[in-house]
Amino acid sequence: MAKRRRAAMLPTNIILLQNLVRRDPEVYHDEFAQQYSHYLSLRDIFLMNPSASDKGIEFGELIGFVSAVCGCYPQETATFPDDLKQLILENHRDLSPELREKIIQCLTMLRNKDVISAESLIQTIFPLLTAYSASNSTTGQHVKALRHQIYSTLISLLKSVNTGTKSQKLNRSTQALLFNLLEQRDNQGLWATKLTRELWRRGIWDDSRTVEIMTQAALHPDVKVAVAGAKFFLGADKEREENFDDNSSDEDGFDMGAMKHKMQVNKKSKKKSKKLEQAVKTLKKKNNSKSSTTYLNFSAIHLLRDPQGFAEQLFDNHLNSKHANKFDLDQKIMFMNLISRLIGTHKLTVLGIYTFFLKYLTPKQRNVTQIMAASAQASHDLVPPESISPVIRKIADEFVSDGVAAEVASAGINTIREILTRAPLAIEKDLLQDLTEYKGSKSKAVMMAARSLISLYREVAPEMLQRKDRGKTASMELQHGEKKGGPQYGVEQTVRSIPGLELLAKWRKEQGLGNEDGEDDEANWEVDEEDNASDIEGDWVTVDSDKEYDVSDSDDEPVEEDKNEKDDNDNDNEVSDLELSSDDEEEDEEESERPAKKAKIDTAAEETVDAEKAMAEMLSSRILTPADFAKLEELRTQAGVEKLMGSRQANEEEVDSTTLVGKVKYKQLREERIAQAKEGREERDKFGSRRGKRDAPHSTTNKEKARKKNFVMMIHKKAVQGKQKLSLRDRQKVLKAHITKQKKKGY
Amino acid sequence: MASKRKRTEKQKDFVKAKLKVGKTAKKPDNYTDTSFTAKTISLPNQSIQSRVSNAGSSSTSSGSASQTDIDLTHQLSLTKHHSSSTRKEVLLYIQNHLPANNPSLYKQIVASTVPLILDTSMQVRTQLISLLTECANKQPGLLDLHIRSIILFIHSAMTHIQPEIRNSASKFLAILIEHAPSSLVKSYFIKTLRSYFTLMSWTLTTDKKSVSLAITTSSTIGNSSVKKARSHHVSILKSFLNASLFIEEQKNNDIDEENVILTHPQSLKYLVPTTSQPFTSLKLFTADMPRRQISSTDKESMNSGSSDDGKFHIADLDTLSTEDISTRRKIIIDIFLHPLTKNLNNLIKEGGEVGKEAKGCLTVLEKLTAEISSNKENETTI
Repeated sequence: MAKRRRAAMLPTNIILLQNLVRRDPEVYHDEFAQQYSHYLSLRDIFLMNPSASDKGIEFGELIGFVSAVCGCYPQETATFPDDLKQLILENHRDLSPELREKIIQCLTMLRNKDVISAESLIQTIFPLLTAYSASNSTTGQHVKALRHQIYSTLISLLKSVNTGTKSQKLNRSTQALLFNLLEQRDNQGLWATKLTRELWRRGIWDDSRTVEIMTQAALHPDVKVAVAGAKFFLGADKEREENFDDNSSDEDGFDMGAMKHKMQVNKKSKKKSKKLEQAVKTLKKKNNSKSSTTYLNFSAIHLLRDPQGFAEQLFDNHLNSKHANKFDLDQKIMFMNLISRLIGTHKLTVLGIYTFFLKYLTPKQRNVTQIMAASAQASHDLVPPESISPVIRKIADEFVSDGVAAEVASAGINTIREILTRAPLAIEKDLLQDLTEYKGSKSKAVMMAARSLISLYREVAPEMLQRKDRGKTASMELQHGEKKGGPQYGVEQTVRSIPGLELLAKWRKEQGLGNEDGEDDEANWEVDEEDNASDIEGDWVTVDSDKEYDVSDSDDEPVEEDKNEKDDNDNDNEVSDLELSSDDEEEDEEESERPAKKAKIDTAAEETVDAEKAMAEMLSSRILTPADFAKLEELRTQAGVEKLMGSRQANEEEVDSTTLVGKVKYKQLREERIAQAKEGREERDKFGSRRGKRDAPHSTTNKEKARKKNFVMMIHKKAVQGKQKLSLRDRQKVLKAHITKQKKKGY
Repeated sequence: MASKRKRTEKQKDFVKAKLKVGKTAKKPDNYTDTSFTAKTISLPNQSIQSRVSNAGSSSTSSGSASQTDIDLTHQLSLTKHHSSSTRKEVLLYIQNHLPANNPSLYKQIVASTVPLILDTSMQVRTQLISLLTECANKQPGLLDLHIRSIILFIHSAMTHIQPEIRNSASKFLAILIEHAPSSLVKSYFIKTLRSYFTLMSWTLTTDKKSVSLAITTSSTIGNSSVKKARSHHVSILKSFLNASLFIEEQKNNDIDEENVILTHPQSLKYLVPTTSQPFTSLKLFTADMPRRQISSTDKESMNSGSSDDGKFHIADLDTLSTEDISTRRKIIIDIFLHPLTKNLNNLIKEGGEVGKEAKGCLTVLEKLTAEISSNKENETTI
């Protein structure tokens, strides 16, 4: 009886009905048909007068019901998804916010049930994202909530579609939509940048098409869009790395980024480098264990299709055109930063930018350090020196003179140094020598900056320095005439061997392996898949520093070998007799300038293997097997402490504008001095006087009262007068008694 | 003796507050701030809309008439009141104060009251029935004019999930049958008939694998109101069929078409049509979902079972127009006749009032078949 009653009662509630229908679609077909025709009539009522209809709660409920169960009745509801799409595309302005939200929800649900394709969902909701621009007033439409909903729907949709294998088709069609959005001249393109940036951050989109979208955005005439595009290139990779770091680096005890930073800043020692190596190993292990994400860390700037064109267009459209005034200074600086990064990374030639910098390089300019950093980034060895030298001349004139503040001068010299590390030819001898004169400055920051300039040129072109500044090694080389002439413009240093090959040769010699065996062995040609994968993985992670190191290593080899032979016996006190290296910091700096050399000395001290000779030997005698390459890789990681230190100046490295000024110590104010002194006195009570301090609170004792009593009142008392009149004997007695008393007390 | 603190506190209560010149008296402790600031100020007296309508009406009628206008708009806004009794009262009020002859006002009334067909309260719906009948009596063509919106709501009510609303839906349909039969059957014949099938929980196709349990049980077991409603449904179905399938007796037109002498024999066709909204079936001015075009292959697969025999099929129903009586008859014969007779026979077996009504309904159908067969015989004899 109860069951029958229940059957009669239930279908009056749409949620319950939905539950029943999903359990047994066959039996409840009629109820469904009834509700579907109800939906149809409600839809027609809505269409008859879309704007005047009320909240449409019932309609929304029905839409939810039908979309929830439409998987059970595919034939009956064949037109339902199209209905919904058309409803929301044509009437989205008339729909109440709740109903609109509900329809989007239902469309997402339909797509999750594979009733509609992801493409059609995107094509339906994407136009809504930009339908309400700021210009036409849409109050009370809950536009913000709508956009938020669509945005998050799009993100989660693309995420779910791209898990596992990437769905290139959908990505392409979505990217095409974004391209179309960016072709309009209004600020709707902002949504394209937002979407792309978020997807890039999550590692869902990481190809060059994505980057192409952002180049479009960066070149967009609208200020907001262009700035968003530029921000992407400047910060997106860091963001992404942070995102992935957050996911991974929770369980282990160390922070890799901090460790690398410490290695760069602090004094280097064997112990510390070992520590770092250990850290790298554990990190690699961890990466191996969960190498499920197949994502390649190509920086956005590296993925650019036409960096030269991009940089030129950016410069011409945003900085050097007559419309450049629409950007404020900060935005201009951002573009300068981006263009200079591009120039530095890809070694581009945008000659106009150097004269453009001249305008801004004055000490009074706001945020000048950032502009200086940009100008340093923008220089590299393939730019004609005569283009860069005006910049250096201008900085020297404006920033480096006796009349300016110490920090200004130090910033100037530091910037010049940064430029010159990248393009050493851009300065004349006279100007360089003028600048090095500041090594005797009273201000420590200026002095340090000048010294760093000197130590740079000791390595690059000692003959340009004054005689006394050259240092022992360089001047000896000059005397012997061994040092080749300074760097020349346009002579590019090319890679002539496989990096680390000499290490392999040495290892083989040590192992006693001849040249002949190995290549016939089958096992050597097959390397474990995992190993390979892990190697590649590790390589990609450290791609930046690694590559740079390799190039420098193989190039500097012959020169350094010579040096090593000569300085072998006294390489420990190599720097000690230089007049500059009087204090620790100097030594630090010295080391930081050439850690590569030191490492080389350590490893190759006992037996030197000439790289070129080794290569000739190895390559002419035998074929390198994959096992050989694996071993080579291993040896290189063993020897490569210095590569992890990020020692050499790399063009890809950005110049940090905050370090350009150097450390400036200001005179303290009076309050600060007092505060500091007070700080020093804390917790030192026990060493001070106990006078006037009581351990436990109590009233004055009789003794204290007597002690404090006025002398005039006491002078005529017998106790005082009597002491005066004591006989000598009595006096002695009293004195003796006092002494014994004191002794008993322990004094 | 209370403590010192308590004594002082007690004393504090009886200290007289000192009043100072130029200072307002201190507010008592239990004072509640009831002041408020309004975000908007509404001045209905100065509203442009009402003034315009005032001016319009004052030119035609007296000031009291304009007063009723304003009153009516106010009352119409109350049809969305949350309390069902208020809604009912409002409908009653409107019924008692129907305007004399003002089409725009009637349009407002219909537009705002028709959604109450789906109202949850029984009282409101019954009141609405009487109001609509009253309106139709006062303004003869009114329901014809608004049939589009009214029929939509009626269809919606016929398929509503609440049985009470479903039950009263046919009563609204009865009003339409009585007052606007021709436009109803011409435009909405198929849709209404199909809704009737869902309302009665009959099925069109016989090859159903399983018959729904819940609705049949609810309709058979259900309480007396449902039963009574069913007999009502069947009687209205009968009148609906009557109205749609048989030529109504010609009201004597003023013009006898045969005898009028015209310049051209076809010129009658080019005169202004006598029915209201003669071109609605073209759907020129309505926003509607475009029908999905069934691809030719689909059609073939559907018709593959029964070859092209000149009959209508269920799949065709969406595309048919039912302007003329012969199409309607053909549709009934081809599609609806069989399930209708079967279900009506079932009802007759149940007996009682429902059986009686079903019997009447069945006689209508029989009359139709007889007439058609006689027609055919006539044709063959001729």
